[in-house]
Amino acid sequence: MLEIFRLILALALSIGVGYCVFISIFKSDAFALYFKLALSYLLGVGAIVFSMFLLGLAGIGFNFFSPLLLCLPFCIFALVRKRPKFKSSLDLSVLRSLNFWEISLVVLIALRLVYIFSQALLIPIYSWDAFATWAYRAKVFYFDGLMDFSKGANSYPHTSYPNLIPLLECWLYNAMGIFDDRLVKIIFPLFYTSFIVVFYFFLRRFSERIYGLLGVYLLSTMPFLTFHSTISYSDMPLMTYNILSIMALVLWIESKENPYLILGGIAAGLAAFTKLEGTAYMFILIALLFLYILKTKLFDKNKPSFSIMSFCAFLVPACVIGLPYTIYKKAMGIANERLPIDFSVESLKRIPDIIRHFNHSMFFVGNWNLIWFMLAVAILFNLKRLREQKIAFLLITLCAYLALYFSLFLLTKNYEFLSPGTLLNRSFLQFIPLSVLIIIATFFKPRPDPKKITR
Amino acid sequence: MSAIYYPLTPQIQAFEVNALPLIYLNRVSVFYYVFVLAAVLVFGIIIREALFNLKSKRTFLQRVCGHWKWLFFVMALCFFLIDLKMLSFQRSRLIFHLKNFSGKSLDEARSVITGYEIYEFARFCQEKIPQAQSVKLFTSDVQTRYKQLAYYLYPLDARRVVPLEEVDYIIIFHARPDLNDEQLRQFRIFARRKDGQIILERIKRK
Repeated sequence: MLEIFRLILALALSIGVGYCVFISIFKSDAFALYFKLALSYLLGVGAIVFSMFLLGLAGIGFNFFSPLLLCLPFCIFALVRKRPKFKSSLDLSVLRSLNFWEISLVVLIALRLVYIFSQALLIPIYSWDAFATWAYRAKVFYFDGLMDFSKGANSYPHTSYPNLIPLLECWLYNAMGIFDDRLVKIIFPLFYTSFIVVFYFFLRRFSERIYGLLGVYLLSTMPFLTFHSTISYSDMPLMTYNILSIMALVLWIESKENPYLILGGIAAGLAAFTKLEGTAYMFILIALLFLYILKTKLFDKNKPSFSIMSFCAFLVPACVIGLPYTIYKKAMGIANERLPIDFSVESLKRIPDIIRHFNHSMFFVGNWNLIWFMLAVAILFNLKRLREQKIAFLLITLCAYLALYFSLFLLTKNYEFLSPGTLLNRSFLQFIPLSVLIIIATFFKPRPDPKKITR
Repeated sequence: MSAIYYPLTPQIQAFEVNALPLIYLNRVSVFYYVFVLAAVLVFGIIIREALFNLKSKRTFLQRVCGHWKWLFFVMALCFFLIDLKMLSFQRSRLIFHLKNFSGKSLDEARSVITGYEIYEFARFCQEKIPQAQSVKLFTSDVQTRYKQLAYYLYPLDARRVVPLEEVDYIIIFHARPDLNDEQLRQFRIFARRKDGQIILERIKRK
């Protein structure tokens, strides 16, 4: 029982740290409590893990308190600068205003949450990659009490992989005081829950409540996402940070409020700190933001021009969080696995095979329900709406991600892993919510007052 | 040295298969639902537009495309049916896992998910082998069982690459060690949990 109490305390503290990050970013307090809690969890675990990483680089041993102590000055500064008012409380009256369809969707989403939490907390870590990499490294960090890369590429299995999940699990083992690989899995359902809350609030900015719930329901019907929320892989946390970053960019495009760029930059950095692919996503988003600013400056002269500061508001947090591990790996001579270019003219023969696998993984496996079909229908029947800024941005991002994987399979040794299908499915998982966002954004009429977040 | 290699019995393999907290129907094909229903719908729309709506000023293609809402409706229906099927599958999985895992201690649960053998053997090794010793691990397959056993063995670091001369213990799980007779003669049987689950210890040099 004591370890459960300690686990809850650790999670509460991580939310507290995340809340300090949140109030440092946003001046306005006009967000609903659920949204603040969800975002605080995502930012809090990121802040704690990044602190652990810095401690590890400095050769300081891991324990429960050390990352918190590192975060403490920042938290005190944030709280002194802006005292939290806790104005928004849990308002249950909203439940009474739900109609039949909304209640049905809430029930279906809640059923899925029950399934995810029970599955995650009943079964200890058992999945292959967790044994092989993520959970193994967490166990090594916990028992060794430090991070030691002195042996270069041989330091750990898959040394080049980033450390967000291993360090987070290690911190929770330290918090509980025991190696309990069943309770530690709570982080994954919490990632899922936080993500769907943030996702819902994003959709609510642009659509009615029913469509926000519908979007979350569509997301929850994807068996692959549900499955990944119950095992301890890094793909689902990567998806969470990656999509959070994209949503923040879209909110900035709509509102031109720089705090969203800072949030997006932090999320993109944390994505790069979660899994190797996150670094590529981060650079894609930086490039898209740059192109957007360039396009606005060149062609939309009547719109307010953006200073270089806007770009830096995204770029600086993204690079500060996302790049240190990459730079450190370079310094230690640790190369990224399977990334060396493996291209010749013969490789062009791979193209039909890659297309066949993409087609199969998108449309002919049960991992995504019918999301890709719905996306195709949504695009084909709403071509005019694709010119809208936010939909165009989402669609371009999706195409860029698909192109990234296409070129990875074409140009690198990742092609060998195309056949089993697991790599491709997991890659799609990292950005599949984009499809849901596009479906909801194209099919349904926008809200008249997009700036106001309500419940 | 007496026999050290015993292949995994079918019973153990069956245990592993039954115990694995199996996942979901990864290969559920959505082919049938979508295409049968959508094809029926599209066929119906084409027939209707071709035979009964001839006075409209719009082209045939425009008229067919005008019915996207129906297509979307059918797709949503398929979507919901597939989801109901998945919910039912998840419900049965949950019942199965509640039966197998609820009320179990952490050790018991780990034992169940690793097929009742790997985790028990890892605990056996940890009890027998002193910490901070150099070990080498051989398992019946180098993917799943090797990774599982190495995970549970830690802090005994079985995944560290060490030359054989520096190895103090060899852990064998239903495997034929990749060693020649000369190398094997440097070790003796130290402990045996079951046939095929053996720890070899280096014979101390005089």
